[in-house]
Amino acid sequence: MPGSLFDLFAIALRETAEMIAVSGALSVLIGLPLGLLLATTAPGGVLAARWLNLPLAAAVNAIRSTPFIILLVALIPFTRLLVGTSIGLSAAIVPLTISAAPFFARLTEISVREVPGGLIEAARAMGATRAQILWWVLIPEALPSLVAGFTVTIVSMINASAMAGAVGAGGLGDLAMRFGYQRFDNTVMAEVVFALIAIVTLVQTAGDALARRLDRR
Amino acid sequence: MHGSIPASTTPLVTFEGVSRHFETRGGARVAAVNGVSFSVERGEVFGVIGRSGAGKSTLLRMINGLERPDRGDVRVGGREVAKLDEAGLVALRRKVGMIFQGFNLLSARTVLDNVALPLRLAGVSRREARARAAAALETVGLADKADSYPGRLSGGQKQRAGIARALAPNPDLLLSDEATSALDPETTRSILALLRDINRRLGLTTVLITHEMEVIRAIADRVAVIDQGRIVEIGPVWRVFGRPLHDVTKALLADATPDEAAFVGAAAADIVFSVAFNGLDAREPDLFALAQAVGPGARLLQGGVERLQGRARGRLLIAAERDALGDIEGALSRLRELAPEVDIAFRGAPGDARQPV
Repeated sequence: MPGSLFDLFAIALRETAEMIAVSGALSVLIGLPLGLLLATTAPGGVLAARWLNLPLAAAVNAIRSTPFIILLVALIPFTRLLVGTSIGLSAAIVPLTISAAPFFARLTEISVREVPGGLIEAARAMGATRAQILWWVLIPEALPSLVAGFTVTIVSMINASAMAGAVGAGGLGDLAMRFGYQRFDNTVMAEVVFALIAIVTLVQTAGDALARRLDRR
Repeated sequence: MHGSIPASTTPLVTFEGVSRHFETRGGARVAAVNGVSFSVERGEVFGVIGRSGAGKSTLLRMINGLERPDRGDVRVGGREVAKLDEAGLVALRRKVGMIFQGFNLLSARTVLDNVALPLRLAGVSRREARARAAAALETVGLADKADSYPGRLSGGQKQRAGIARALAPNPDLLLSDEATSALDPETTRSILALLRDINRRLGLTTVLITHEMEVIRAIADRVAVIDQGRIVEIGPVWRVFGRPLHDVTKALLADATPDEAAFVGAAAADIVFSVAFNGLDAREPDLFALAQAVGPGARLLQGGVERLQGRARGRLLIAAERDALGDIEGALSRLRELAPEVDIAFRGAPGDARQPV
């Protein structure tokens, strides 16, 4: 039944795309400010505050060290509280976001920390406030590196979304598991894996191109 | 106006008994600046010279509040910098331009937008900020690079952009942190000429720190020599380096290139011959003959000769007062009989045209 398999494939592709798009957007919304805070509240940063930096860093590490499949299950009560259900697409978006946001936050932190200290000093010397330093210096100067970090985040999110099938969210990974792995249909499995390789390659290439365009150094 | 530094005849910047300590990794307290007092007059170029780690950088950063003193008073326009709140500090910094050894331009913005940045930060509209930035770029001779990104500029062009950025908000004071230390000698000279020109044309008071004699010589009116956080000598450049009293000042002179040393030893009206032995022939540095070639009053300013398989190799700088010497060409040709490479390293002004340096 090639027709119906093709349909399944199209549906799975759309499910994956939706999961990644929504979780990706949310990860930036949460991860970017979190990463900026991690970088700037560290000792010597423009907002240096140890009392904030330590718990933030600890929380980020805790989430990052938890395997995604465990996070997925452990978060079920929280997910139900947040979106009213623990199965389906919106239920997968919650753990995907919670897993990816701290990951992107760490990458953001690294990008921001790599902005040369001299630029911050120059901005201070011209009378920039802390908020202005963030907005006019740190974010624009880190942007190429932030784009590269976001690309990596998306790719690892595509990877994690394969496990979202466990909560009935569907997607390409789920298709490969159910039709390919569990039914021993190597053709379907190979097709899905190739599709994933193509998607990841596309995302990575686009991300690299954008980062390169933004980089004026 | 809240932000501007009041005009008056009092010194623009004063340091009084200023100290600043840092903790080292081992926990020891080290004085970066130790009981320093001096003042900078309006309109002058005030140079601070010292070796790296002497405390120059900390001293400069206390003027715009990037560093705070643990003791003593730093005043700019009569106001004590340490007592300013965040808003006061921001207002002060908008009137104090700063340029850096590493230029510190934003890589993601064009030269024009870099120069416009301090104005944008101060709330000036994008349009007006760009117009004023373009004017500042005109002043430093970089108008044609307005739309380039800093990554495409040479070191000298980057520093010109940095200077334009410092000038764009019409500052009352310019701070220069080793602004030419990353540049080659020729570019250094052109940047120093630009700074001197800006100081003259705009009457812009300038405080600069450097470890290079050439910078002080080219543009400073007065100089402070700093060592281990203390000012060891201070005064007009011609006096401090004309007759160095402190060992550090002497050492800075000894490190200077021969031309710079010649300038100093030869304060105003001397002519300095460079007499070099390169080992290619067996001629000896015959002191009596050399002195005779130059004439009465010949002085050895600097010299060092080493031996390579018995042959002399090195350079002597011999000075004579220009007026007493009379025939410069004659002396030159007599010296050329005695050594393989002879040149004039420094040509002072004739006595009647003597000027303070």
